[in-house]
Amino acid sequence: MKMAVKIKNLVKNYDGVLAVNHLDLNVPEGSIYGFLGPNGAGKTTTLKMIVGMTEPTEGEIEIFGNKLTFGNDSFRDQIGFLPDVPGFYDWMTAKEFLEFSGSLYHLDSETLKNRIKELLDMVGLSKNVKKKIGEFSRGMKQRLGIAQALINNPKIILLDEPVSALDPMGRKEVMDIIGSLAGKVTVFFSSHILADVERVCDRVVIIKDGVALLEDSIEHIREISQSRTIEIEFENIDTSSFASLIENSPWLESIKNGGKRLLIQVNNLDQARLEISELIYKNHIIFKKFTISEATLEDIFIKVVNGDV
Amino acid sequence: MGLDLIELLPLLIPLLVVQLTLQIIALISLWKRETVRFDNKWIWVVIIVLGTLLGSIAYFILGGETHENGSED
Amino acid sequence: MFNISFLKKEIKEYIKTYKLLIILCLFTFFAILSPLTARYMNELISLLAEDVQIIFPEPTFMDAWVQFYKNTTTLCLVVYLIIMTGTVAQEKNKGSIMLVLTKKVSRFNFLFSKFVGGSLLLTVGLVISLLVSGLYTQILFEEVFYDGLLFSILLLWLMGLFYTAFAIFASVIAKTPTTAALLGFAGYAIFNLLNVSSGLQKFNPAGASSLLNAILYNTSTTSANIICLISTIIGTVLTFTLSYIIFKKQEI
Repeated sequence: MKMAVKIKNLVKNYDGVLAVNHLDLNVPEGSIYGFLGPNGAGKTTTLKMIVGMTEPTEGEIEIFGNKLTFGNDSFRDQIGFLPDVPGFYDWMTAKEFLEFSGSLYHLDSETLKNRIKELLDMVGLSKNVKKKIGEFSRGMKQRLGIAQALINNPKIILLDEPVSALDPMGRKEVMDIIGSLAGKVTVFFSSHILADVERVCDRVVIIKDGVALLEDSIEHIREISQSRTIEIEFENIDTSSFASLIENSPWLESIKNGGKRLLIQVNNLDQARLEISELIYKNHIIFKKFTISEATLEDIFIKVVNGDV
Repeated sequence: MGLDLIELLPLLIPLLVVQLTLQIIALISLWKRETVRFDNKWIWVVIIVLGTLLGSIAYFILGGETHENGSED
Repeated sequence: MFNISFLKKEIKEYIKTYKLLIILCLFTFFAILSPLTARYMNELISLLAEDVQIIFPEPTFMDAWVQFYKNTTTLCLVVYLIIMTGTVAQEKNKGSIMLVLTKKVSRFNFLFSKFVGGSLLLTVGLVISLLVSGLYTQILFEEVFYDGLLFSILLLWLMGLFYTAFAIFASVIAKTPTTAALLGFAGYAIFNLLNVSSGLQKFNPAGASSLLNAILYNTSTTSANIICLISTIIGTVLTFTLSYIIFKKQEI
């Protein structure tokens, strides 16, 4: 598989604080790649190093096989970038900003004209051509941000938290646009919200404190979660006394006592179900509710970030 | 020798025109904008009207809203 | 290859964000006011303080130029300087710099466009104010030209370019527009303090501001004039180069 971005042993040291700590990363060409991590994990720093705005302390970055050096602009034709808070010139209209963006790449005016029309349609801003960017909503700005990142027809676009500042409607609009890019361009985007990534991404990397914790395809990540949660609500016994009955079982991962409910995380669901049933029968326990829930990616994210995997 | 205002008037008019032009454009810009520093347009009306040329310049340079800074991830 | 698009954006920005308007109004205002105050200074003083019986000599067109240089190198220049100190810092503060520099624009291209854009703004302001002031001086005194006028204008313009480079320097090293403006103003104050010493003055890239009167009254030597001219040019080039070296390595 050809790699759009290859990162080896990347380090960024800010006066002794490692914002990015020996990070390895491979973004396959053509994929929609989610870059997940809580706030402060080093996502923005990593992205800034990839686009050449920040100099790595150590490590290598390759873009389509070409090694990046700080201050070298030759790779810029191939990438598009949307920073976390894109700053536009408020006095321009969306069209003017795209014309300006295109002119920075020396695109000829005919190509640029068609491209702008296409992009404005794609991001749903073609009805707002007269409006100044200063009067745009956050969602509109973010959509314009995606359009400007695509102006040079790049092979990869890097988006930094493209939806985190948006309301649910704006979020959906932007995620739909990102989803529609599948197969046309490699997309590498960061987020601290898993639900966004889950919908559109092929692959995901989860980082925390500048370290990659998990890197895999979405399907694999779903599969690795052998751990399931059993939720039981009791009628005639209090939760803590039941918890003491199972606390030494080998399949038990954790117990959360939710007052009337017991949340039991297990690593072997079949064995656990069998033994819990047995205990219930032997001790004449009456339960109100017994449910089994599969872990969502959210749970995995939280587990990975907390260092439980 | 006293000041002959009638004789001076044609020379003073351009001065007034320049100053008023800037003040009027400043007031129009203030009227149209949604946010302004200090969150109070009347403060700026006073500054533009009483501060004449320099008041208007102060409005154009300082009156723009303070921008939120991009948060680190 | 130098991309002119960013310079075009700079010029449009000066128009759309009223910066050109500010400079034109300010420079024109003082271009009119300077000859007027020179001509009517005595009348004004006698109006304001009727009992003071000081007889000032009849003003000449030279006084108009003294006023013009004084106003241009103080208030006009300070406002221009403050406008220019925002040029990079504002783009950093707003984040627009990130959208520009991640495209195919080199940092040199970016910074040099800023310099050229600012210089154009200043040049337009100076040309207009010189024309207006010259016209008023002609009307009020019926005399405008003196030996060394053209050289003085050149020196004034070059000093403006030096301050442009200096404003960009302040804008590059500062994190916010406010810090940049304060740095710019502090620099202006320091360069003017250096002018107090006449020995240092000719080596001061901003030395022109006090040399202009000396040239007007023909009390300055040709060699001092030339040294000042060269110091201003070297000062401008060095300041811009230093700004670029810092900017090139800067993490944004």
